[in-house]
Amino acid sequence: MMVGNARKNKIKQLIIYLCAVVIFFYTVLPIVWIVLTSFKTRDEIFSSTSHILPSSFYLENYTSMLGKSAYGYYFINSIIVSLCATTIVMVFAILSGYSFSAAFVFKGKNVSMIFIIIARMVPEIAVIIPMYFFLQKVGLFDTKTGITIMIAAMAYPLATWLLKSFFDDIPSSLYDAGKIDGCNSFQILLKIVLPISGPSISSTLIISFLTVWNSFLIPLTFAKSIKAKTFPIAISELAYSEFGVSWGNISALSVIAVIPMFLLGIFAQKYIIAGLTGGAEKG
Amino acid sequence: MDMKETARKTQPIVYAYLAPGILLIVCFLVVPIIQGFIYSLYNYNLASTAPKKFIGFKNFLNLVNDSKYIQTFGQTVFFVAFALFFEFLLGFLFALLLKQDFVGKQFLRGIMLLPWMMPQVVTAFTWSWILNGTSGVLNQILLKMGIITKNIEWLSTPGLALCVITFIDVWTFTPFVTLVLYAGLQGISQQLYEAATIDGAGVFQQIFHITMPMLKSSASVAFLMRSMMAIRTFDSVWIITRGGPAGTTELLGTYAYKKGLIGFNIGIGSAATTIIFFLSLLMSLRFIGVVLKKK
Repeated sequence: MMVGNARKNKIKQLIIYLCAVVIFFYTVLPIVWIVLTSFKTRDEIFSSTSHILPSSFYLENYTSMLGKSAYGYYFINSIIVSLCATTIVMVFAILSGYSFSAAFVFKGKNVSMIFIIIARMVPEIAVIIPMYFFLQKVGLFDTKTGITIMIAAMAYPLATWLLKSFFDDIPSSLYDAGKIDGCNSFQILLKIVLPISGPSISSTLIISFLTVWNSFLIPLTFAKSIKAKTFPIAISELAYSEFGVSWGNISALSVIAVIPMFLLGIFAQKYIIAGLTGGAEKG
Repeated sequence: MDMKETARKTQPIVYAYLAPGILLIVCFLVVPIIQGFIYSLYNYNLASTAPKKFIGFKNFLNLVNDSKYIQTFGQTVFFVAFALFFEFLLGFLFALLLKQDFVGKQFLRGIMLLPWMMPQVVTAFTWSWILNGTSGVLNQILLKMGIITKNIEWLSTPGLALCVITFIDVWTFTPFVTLVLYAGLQGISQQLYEAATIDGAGVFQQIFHITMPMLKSSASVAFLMRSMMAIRTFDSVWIITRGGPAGTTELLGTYAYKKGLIGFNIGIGSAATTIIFFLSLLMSLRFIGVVLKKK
């Protein structure tokens, strides 16, 4: 009996590791392939005898792209837009998430909460046609400002909802303590709620940043020139360049775009998972 | 309870906290949606010289009578149905695996986040390169292994292309479903399983009678969220196939974009986006029901 169990356990362990390895390769091989491609010469990429590994540490794909100043610009555009939009989202969402938390009752709370849930479901495609004309009318078409505001509006509802559900978990005794000390609600937010909400703020921040950084349809529609175009749009345009698809260059840019995500996945995993599941689990 | 006595009265300042966010979404989401709906009631085509004219719901009728649109709708249904089916099937299996103890679990979880976190542009290129008909690595491997004798045009064969697009969606979003279901699994009390084991229930019985029913609520929220996202899928299709070949990978999102912002037929384009909005809205009403029920 004991021996049988031990054997059964061994088989179970074997199956578990086998599955883990399969999932690992399923997930990682496509990405590895892009990394390898980014170090290959044009000949290696198109040769029919397949080279799995690049023959040398060939950096042309990177240097030729980064040397072209336009891509540096697009990258900087992306960083500016992402930082500004994330800042707007966080400031607005902290304030409204706080108002929606259990600490407050006010007239219209339920209605405005449902409003936020619906806003979270609004597809980007549903607003871009009217916004195309509106942004032109107010002079924000093809500007970083216009894109930043649009992306912020799309990312704000989820951030609010995440923060609301995180703030809900703060025990009411803490609010009461603040009140007794004579703090008003804004001081309570600054001195009590925010200092203990580090992890929730980080989760929401990362999720919002991801949404904004990866945003595609909005900059595709509203950014036309070098001063507003973001990195993902610039990458996508390479595919339709007049010289045909340069897989080496695209791979290099893709690797650059993925590195920040990779680092986040490794070092901020806990917060990302909390944000991801918080958004789905708590509604 | 004593919260009710001390803090539970309306503090007008709350409206000031809410104002910036509400203003943002009213200006940039609510107003444009209404505007879009109004456009959809007009014959409004920037590509023609015909003047803008109110025509009621005729744009919607035109869409329904357009065989291209019906085909697009069918393709979207196919895409959403199969993508979600496989995402939840695989997601459930992956989540069960993550629940086991093994070395490197943390690392695997971090890696699994990647497809979901990557910009979709990158995902799209990664797969178009791997599946490239002439120099893609998949064809090379299959040729070498003798499974195929000539290159398969994964992305330019009608029918096959839509399956590939669906697969890429599965690759991208299975991690999301996995992690949500995994979080749900962790909420199931271990005692239930112990009791079931004592009662002599086998592994599969436990999965069917404990795990699945207990997962229902987190699975249904994840399901609604994923279906809402899937129905508006745009990025990957736009980059990989642009709806081709011959419109066989056209989805509701790419169709609306092409009509409205490439062809500049604002009326028809707006009708198409309004339909996507109402489909999302219908699902979000379900979603609100689920969320409120949980409280």
